[in-house]
Amino acid sequence: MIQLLRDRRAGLEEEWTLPKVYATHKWTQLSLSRNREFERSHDNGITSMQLDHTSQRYLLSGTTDGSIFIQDTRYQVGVARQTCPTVAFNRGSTTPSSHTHSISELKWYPHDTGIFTSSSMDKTLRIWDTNEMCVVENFKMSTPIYTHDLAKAIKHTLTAVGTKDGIVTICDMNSGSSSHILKRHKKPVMTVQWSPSDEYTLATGSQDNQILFWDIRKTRCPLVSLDQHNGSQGKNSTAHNGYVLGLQFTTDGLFLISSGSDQRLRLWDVSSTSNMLINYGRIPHSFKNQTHHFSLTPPSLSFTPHLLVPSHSDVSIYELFTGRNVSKLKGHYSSVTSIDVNSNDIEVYTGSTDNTVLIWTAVNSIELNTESKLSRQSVIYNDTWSDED
Amino acid sequence: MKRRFTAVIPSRSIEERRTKAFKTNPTDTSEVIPSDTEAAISYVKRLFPASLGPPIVLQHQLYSLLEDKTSVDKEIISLKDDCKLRIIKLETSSDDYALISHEDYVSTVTSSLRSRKGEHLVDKALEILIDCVDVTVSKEKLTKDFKLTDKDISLLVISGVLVLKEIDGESRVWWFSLPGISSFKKDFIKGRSAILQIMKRLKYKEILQNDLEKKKLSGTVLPMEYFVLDIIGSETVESIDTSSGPLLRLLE
Repeated sequence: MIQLLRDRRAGLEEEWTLPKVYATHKWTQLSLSRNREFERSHDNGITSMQLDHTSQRYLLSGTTDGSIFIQDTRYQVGVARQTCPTVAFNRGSTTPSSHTHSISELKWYPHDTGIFTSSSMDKTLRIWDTNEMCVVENFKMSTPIYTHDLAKAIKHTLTAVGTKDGIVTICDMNSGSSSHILKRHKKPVMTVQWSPSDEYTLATGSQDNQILFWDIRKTRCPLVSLDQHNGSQGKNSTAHNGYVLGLQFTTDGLFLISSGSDQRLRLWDVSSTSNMLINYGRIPHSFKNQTHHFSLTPPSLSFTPHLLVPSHSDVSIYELFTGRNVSKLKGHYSSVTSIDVNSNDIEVYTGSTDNTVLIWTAVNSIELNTESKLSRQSVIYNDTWSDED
Repeated sequence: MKRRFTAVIPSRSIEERRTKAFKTNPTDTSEVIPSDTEAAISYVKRLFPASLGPPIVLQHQLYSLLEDKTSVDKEIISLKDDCKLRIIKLETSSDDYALISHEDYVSTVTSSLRSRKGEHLVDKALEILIDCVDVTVSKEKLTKDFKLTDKDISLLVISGVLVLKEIDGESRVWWFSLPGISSFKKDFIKGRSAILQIMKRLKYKEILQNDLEKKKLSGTVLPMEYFVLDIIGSETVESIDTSSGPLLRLLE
């Protein structure tokens, strides 16, 4: 580190190198936050979570009884013990607009926090007004919804919905109706992801072990089906030796990471649609009929991207391009179901079936120093006068 | 949008493979000094008893000896493309791949074909083995590129070189196999279930590796260490370093 500082001063290193190396080092040192926690408002296991893209501040979380919570993760300056408050919520089955079954996926509208969407096992996809906390649009499907994803595109406002009957429905938020369907998967669609670089490309993963790439302007057949053996083993291409449960693009859209019920992760090169053959080892988890959410570290805060993958009650951290296991976060009492990374700060939020959301931060000397300074200050400014005098 | 279909690791041309397979150049140092993966393979090979035929190494056993799984995989693929190793799929579990050296494989195939009056097929079989380095081969390739008749293919199946994988209409896909591998498979399955039984019967489902290696396995001629490498590599157990050597804990 000191070597790097010296190099930086001498102008031998680019100016971004030092902060990135420092941040990358911090990802390996994540541990439970000592002075921050979320308000305990969840009564049921958490199924899905997302932090808003724009301000990196509001955390949306949904539970198995259909409740939705929004919590404010803002850092309160000068407060030693912080609780992130619940700023809005909607309990399941209480109002006509609330979900009656387990929430399967929650997504913020990518461009601001005024809208969010929720999909549930009660066969509906709902679009919410965040400020009023009410439903403004309701899409009804014929079978339970496992997953949905909002396009990050500017040219269209489409949402892809994956359901139990293996059909991907494309819903348009502008017109409030479904525009078309993508039909190829033979079994329930477990995960859908829009490409961040190409706004018409969609990747879908299903229980038929396949990952398909679609161009939504050409819905007759998928562009390509990913093959784990890169075409060396017969015609029937499968991406995993089990259900495909999770997909995630890297932020530049060049790579795709997939997770399967065969307890493997695979890294795919999007431009050549080939398996990069990176071996992450076995990642034990017990997901079967549930999307496996995992997260990537933001490129602005890491030298090499890291993968944060829930594995039973722990979260394993892997280097994306080598497959090396860096560390493991242990803290939850039961299976971790959802995870998100705050890219303003080095902070990770995990939701679990034990009804809690935990905050993970990198332990650093600076944080400990400010804490001790605070306590010293509070001693100095403490009111020693008593009312009885 | 048009997409290219290219493998990440470019597979070598057939000519290159042929020259590499038959040419041994003692002055070339890269051939003399083995890489980490090759060293690990030869280490596991030494554990293999001679009575079970040519030594077989399981791909995941190497993961317990070497840390970087990705580089092991990549090196195995390049060894496979150079016709130094054969990869054979075992039906024992979906992730089990057996590695066997090309010379051993070729000599076993030759002797198996000779014993079944398949003398005329030997040259063709060797050609196929150098051309098809993958785990499977399709019927189209066998009949069109190598001009094998159905009779020839069935002789290859009888002698244990090919195993039927799937029938999809007219096209068939075959798995390569090692003649006489069944005795190894039988032994291996028995041994693996025996070692897992030992682990399951422990009170806390954990044991020091040294203590485990002292125990005896029934019904197999393969040594204990072979199975210890197997269960660590396949991540059925977790290896934790302690002050008195590695501790193995069964994962759920």
